Amino acid sequence: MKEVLKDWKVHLLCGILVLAAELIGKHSVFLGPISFTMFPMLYTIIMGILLAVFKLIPREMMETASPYITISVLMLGARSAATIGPNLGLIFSSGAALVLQEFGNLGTIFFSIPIGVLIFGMGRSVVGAGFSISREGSLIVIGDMYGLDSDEGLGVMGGYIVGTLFGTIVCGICSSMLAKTGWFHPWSLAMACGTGSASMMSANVAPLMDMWPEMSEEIYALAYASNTLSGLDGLYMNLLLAIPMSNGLYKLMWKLKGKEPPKSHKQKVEQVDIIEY
Amino acid sequence: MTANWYENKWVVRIKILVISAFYASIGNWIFTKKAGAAVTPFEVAPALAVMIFLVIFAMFVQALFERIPKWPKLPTALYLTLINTYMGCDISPFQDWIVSNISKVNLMALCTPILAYAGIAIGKDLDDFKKQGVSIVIVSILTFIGTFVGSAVIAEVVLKVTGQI
Repeated sequence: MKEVLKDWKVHLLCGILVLAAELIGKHSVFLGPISFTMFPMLYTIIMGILLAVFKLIPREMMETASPYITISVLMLGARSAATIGPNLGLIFSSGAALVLQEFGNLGTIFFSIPIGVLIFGMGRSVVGAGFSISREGSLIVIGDMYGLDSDEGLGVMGGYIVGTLFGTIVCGICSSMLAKTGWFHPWSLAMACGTGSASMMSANVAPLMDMWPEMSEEIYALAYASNTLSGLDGLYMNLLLAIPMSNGLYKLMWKLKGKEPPKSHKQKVEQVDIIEY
Repeated sequence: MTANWYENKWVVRIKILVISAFYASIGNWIFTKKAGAAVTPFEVAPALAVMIFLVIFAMFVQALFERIPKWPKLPTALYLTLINTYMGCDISPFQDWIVSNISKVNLMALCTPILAYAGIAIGKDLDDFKKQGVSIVIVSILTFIGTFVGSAVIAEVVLKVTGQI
């Protein structure tokens, strides 16, 4: 029986992180006009980054913990049993909004590509990093179309790494800030939470459930439905719309700069195998 | 390939689910206590046990379906969602039990152990992160904001136009 817990160090550390994070508890942060709420789950990520920066955990433990995320994240799916079914009516009656807001995932292109080209003068890597939130599905699409050793591939891999490190934190802060502006109905924000990544979805949805506790089950149901939808349509959305639109916008932005848009190069990368499933 | 029994994927899956559920129950206790209405680990234990069962069941159904030749590889979450939607909907005999028990598990408490594993694993990517240019970091962060805001704007407009809010 002993062998089954031979990775006990990983689980013990996980337990310590959970305890520490929950004991700190949620806190509101005010930075001038900006305010948002930090939740325990975000502290665990921050503590993880700090532990790694100060080299306090061996690489072996990191590698062991990695596949455990994919398994444990399914508990979030199981949690939806109590929310999706009872809220099926709401989900169907919001069907039009749920489906159409999926196109909102393309909204990112109009932020990221112009800023990448006009401010940073980025080449083709801006298409890879900017066309989507760079999760596994995006890596597959870019890998297939351009190869992960292209400029686009470098971009999407960079986005993947940034997302792994800071995705949940950025999502949690962004959704908390938007919720506090009062510009949006909780349902709209709930639907926006689903971007195709379960952990980012939960970081997005936590501040909303906290802010509207009486609607929290509805909010989770809509967010979960939207996330499932993004998981299903993401590939086609990327392939048929996001990449062609990004390419168009990329050319247009370089034209605005009055220059010839840089072409893609093949890179020599040792590490094109960072993808995990 | 005679792998050790403790490396069997089902053993690992059950192990991780049980450990995360255990931590979630403690986290839930602290979280709800701070919120003023403590829910003890004993109160959520049945719900968590059922949730683990649902996940394993979904994985089992997936494994069965994938024995069909040419059956596409679909994420486990999809099987789980379909099973759960039935379990919690109005025609399900389990609806009352599921809704009243599973709702006691605070979503945020459930997320903490998952992200704690992610936090431990995160260091793997730290060296790669240091190699990224500032421009890629900023553009990537903008995509999270853009995706969220874009969807929220469209959802708000459509819900208003269709008169739901």
